[in-house]
Amino acid sequence: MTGGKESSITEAETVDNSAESSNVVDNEFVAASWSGSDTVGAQHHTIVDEKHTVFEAGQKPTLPLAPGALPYFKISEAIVFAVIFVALMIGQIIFLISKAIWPEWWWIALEIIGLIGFFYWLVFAYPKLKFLRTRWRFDDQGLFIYQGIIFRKQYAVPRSRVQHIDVTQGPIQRNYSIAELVIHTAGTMNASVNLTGIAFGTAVDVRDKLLNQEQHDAV
Amino acid sequence: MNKQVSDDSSEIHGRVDTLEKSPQENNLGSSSRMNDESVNPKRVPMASGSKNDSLTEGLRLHPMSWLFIVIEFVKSFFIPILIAIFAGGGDNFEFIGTFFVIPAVGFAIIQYWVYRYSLEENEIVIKEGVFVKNVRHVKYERIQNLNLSRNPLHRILGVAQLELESASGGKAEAVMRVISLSAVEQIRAKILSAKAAAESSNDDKESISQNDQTSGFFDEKGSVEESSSFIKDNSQQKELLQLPLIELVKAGLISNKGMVVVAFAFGILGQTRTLDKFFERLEDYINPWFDSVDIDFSHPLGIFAGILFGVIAFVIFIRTLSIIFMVVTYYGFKLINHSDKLAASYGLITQIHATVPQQRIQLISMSENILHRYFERAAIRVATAGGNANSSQGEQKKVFRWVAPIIERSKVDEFCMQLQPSIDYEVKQWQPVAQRAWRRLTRIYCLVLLLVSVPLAFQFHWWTFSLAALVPLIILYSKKTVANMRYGWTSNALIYESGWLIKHRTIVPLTKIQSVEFNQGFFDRRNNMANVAVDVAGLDLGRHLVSVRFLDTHIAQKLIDDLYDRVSHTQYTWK
Repeated sequence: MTGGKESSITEAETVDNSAESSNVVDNEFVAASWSGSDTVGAQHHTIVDEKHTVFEAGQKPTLPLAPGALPYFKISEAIVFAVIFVALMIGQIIFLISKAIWPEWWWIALEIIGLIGFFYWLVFAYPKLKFLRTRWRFDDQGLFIYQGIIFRKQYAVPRSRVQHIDVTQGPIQRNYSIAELVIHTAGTMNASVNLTGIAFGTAVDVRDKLLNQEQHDAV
Repeated sequence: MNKQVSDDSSEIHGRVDTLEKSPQENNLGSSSRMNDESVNPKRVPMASGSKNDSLTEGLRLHPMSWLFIVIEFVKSFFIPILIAIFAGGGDNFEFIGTFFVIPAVGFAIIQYWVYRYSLEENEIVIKEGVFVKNVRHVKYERIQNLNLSRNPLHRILGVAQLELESASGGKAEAVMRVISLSAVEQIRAKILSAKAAAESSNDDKESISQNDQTSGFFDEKGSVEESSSFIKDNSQQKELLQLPLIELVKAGLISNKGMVVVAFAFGILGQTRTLDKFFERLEDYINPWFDSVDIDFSHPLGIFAGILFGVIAFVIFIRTLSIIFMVVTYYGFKLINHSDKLAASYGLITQIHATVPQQRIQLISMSENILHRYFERAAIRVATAGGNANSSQGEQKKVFRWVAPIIERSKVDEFCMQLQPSIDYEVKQWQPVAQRAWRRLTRIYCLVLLLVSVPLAFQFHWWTFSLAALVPLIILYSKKTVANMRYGWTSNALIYESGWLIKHRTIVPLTKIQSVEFNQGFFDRRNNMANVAVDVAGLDLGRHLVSVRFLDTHIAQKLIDDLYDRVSHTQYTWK
């Protein structure tokens, strides 16, 4: 494996992406959440608020998702919301018609408030948190992903264990020129590890780098 | 590389680019689960007219093969037929005849008519199909295993069913149902000589025909696998384990395999009305025994006595079944180390001969329950990847799971050493998990207890409070459970132990680790804990695996980082 080459590219990306992301991401927040272990280590035995209880990201720098991922998450969650909303409405209308009643005003008010709250959470709060909470790192070692809001997860896939890689792009993702990187291993539980929301170019880059490495190995 | 990657076009169309990993390609054929047609064996749809004359050449299956195709067809509709017979009341045999057997016979004859195979210089070519014609080329060197099955009917007719397997896992590349023994020998000789020529190494002298003499009453499944892995000259055979009958009886007594039998029986019988009849009979038969026993079922103590009695009867019943199951399944169990491969053979009714290269073993797991400890025994299981181990059919997968259904406790270490000599089993320092986790466990179990007791309270009123007596037990259990969890590093493996009543120990060589996962759920975070799980190929998800719970967050973080570091410095080898 040729270490120097890979890491230099990764660094270049770091610079690149952080510059891009500064428009969208609250950089201070990211810094507070993900920078070195000292700050977090001190918090081990104290209860700290949600935003700051994070895993130690280690000494190595991690990358955020591409800025286009945030609107993409929002749109996909909005679609989810729309589906839930329509299903709920249809169900309710059928129910009300079958009973031939008109709902009480408080019920309507409650439902509107509930739906607005849900809408806010699903379409604004959740995508933002998801966006901020997803960090990744690709280097000589392999791919390391941090994600999750309530259920925090980290995936570490060593390079030598990668079986093959998919780069996929849906229509909405194309619009924001982001992509989904799917790394397949021979494992069972995590036979494929998924990273959605990195720039398409980056995804292709990661893939190509793994490709190069394989050619080296094969020789 | 199989597929050329073009970035420009994919940017617009969002195409999926699949990469093949080439290191495996050399020795594995198709390592990925994706269908890669570019790798042998090929499935080439035959253009009409272009090669039609080829139908006349090549070899045919055995003339009696139609019979076996019919049997296979009927087997796959076994449950529907069973339902049709039992649910329908028995007067619709015409129905069954029309819908199952006649089409099956027709299908079988056509199948026999169109199926041709020919042994070319370095590949076997199989042609089949009526409307969609298939020509399949399987290179000899790609054939990893030759599986031969013969049941008594096969033996009477002097034929066998032959399966050709490549390393890809999944289904067999070709199933020849059925060919004569001389044809088997011919194919086998051809493959062996081709391999020998290709690898210019000596081929193993396992003879398929040896399996034919083994006795079996109803069904015999002999499978001889000839792996193309690099067979070394030192073909010394070493017996790792042999289980006499008494050991199997013990194994049955210890394990609760009886549930498997019961579940299976209920599954089959549940389809029919046999079960109801059985219970009616049972009731008639057993009732007189209990005429003198007068249990007041409205009193909690009466219910308790009834339950206790029922449980004891059930346990005895289950253990008996368990013993029968173990003896039938593992009769004559023998595990041999044959150069680099492990060969196991066992079975009373269905005889199994399975071989796995040692390198394909992904993890070793030992378990010991209370009875095991009483008898000073243990059970050892492995997870294997590739070859037939990865196949979707559960039956095949289980063939190589229990390398030691039962083994003397004192011999475990030595056995493991022989199983995987490259692994270092010596743990210098065991790492405990966070001991305060017992409080979490206690809380969870108490909550469960509370939820269970609420509905009971309606029935038993104040008696329900007696369940509170379980709380000390819960505390004890939680404490012991947490205290028994530990993990440790050896120079090239990670070992994880857990369990108080049933002890588990799982050993994963670092080279076999595919990826590492760190998990922190909501309650984990509240308790500042996390879980680190290790993923390997061919895992049985329901069973014990290396998933270390209740680690302090910073320890978990260190563990995943260390694992990642160490694993990425090793190379995964398939064979």
